[in-house]
Amino acid sequence: MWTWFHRLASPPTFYRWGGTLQVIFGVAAAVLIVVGTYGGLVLAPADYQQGDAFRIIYVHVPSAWLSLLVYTTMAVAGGVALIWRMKLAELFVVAAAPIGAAFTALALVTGMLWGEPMWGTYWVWDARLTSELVLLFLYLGVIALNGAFEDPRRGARAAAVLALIGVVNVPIIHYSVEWWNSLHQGATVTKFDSPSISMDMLWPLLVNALGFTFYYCAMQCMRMRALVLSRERDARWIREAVA
Amino acid sequence: MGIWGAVWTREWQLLFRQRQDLLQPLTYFTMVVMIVPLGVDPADAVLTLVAPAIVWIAVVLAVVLSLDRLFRDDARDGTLAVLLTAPTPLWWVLLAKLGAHWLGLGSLLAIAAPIAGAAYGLSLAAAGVLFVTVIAGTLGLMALGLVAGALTVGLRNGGVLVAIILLPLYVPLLVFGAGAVAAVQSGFPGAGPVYFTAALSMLYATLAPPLAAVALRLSYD
Repeated sequence: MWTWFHRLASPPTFYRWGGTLQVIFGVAAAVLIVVGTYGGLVLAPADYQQGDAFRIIYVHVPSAWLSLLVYTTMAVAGGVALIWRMKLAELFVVAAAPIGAAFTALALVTGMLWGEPMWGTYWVWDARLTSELVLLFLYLGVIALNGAFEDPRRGARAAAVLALIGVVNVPIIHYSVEWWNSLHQGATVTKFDSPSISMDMLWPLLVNALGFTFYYCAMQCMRMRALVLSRERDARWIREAVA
Repeated sequence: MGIWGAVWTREWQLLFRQRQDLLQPLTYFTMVVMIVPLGVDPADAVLTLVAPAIVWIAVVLAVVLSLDRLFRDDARDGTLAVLLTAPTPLWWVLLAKLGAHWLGLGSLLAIAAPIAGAAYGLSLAAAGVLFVTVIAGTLGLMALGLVAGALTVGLRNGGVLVAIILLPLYVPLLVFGAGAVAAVQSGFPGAGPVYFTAALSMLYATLAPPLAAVALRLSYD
């Protein structure tokens, strides 16, 4: 029953359909991000409080969402890699970590740039900011552990174990940091908080979030194919595929 | 007793015969705690304010430093390879390692921590909570450390890597452990975070031995 799945997941087959998928995802990402960014920067009305400064939300929020989504997919792939010893899932973990770290860094940097004009400071020890920063270090740990091994397969599996521990910890870290923050500061930092964002501000955000997700899928395919090429460089099918 | 008990006996004997492995982290803890007041005005009330954080961070650093002993010698002399093929389940062996390490170093740090806290001017009640959170929290710290140690066994630059892996994972225990002490010191009830510290430790101690067993088998594939 699962043979078709294993056949799809074998490196030579993946190399082929991954290439097609990468193009589809890439085109979808480009279209959605262009539409979403145009909607966000041009069509959406300026915020009555923040003026045009709020528009960074169209990069900031999708990156923050993706930083968590990438970690989750990485941990799921890590579980698959450890349980079924699937080569492709190991590559998934290794390929996803730097992408997730980049999204996390982007969310932090755009958040800081937004915070400076709005709160008057680049950084506050707010619960959300701090847990995002911890997430960045979780990603860096996975990348560092993977890189420490000479044998790439062992490195990938070690990274998979760490991703699994990390995903158990992500919600715990989030809530512990929230508790820490509420204990130490009576009044939380007054920040832009919109429970009901208006529709013409919201749709570009959702479009961009979807576009970022497709961008992640495209990057993931691209990085995994590159990893397949380097790991299997001595295999005969590679010479045939590349020639 | 059989092989199940023999594993525990062996860990205990190692603990008592290699005392420097426990005394050195303890000395390190004391020195970290001692060195901080030298950087600030010792009469300042700020010292009492940050005491829970400093003592807890010193505990975390001492634990990270001590993890080396869990697998170093066993990997070097081949014991680990034997244990991997032994009929005893690997998670049981690892639980024995964790238990012995915790009862040895965890209790030493738990005794030293309230003394250090008192020297920083913590109230008696807060120092008592410090004892409880450190004895409860070190179990969780060491359980996560067991997995990190198993992942990096045999790597040349394992020490720094273990610290990089562990410190972000230690955030919740640090928050609740130090938070309970700070709450009691400023007159609030500290039971909630103490329970959280203990519950997290139990969670990590339950998950860690099987995960560390997976990690070890990966290293010896």
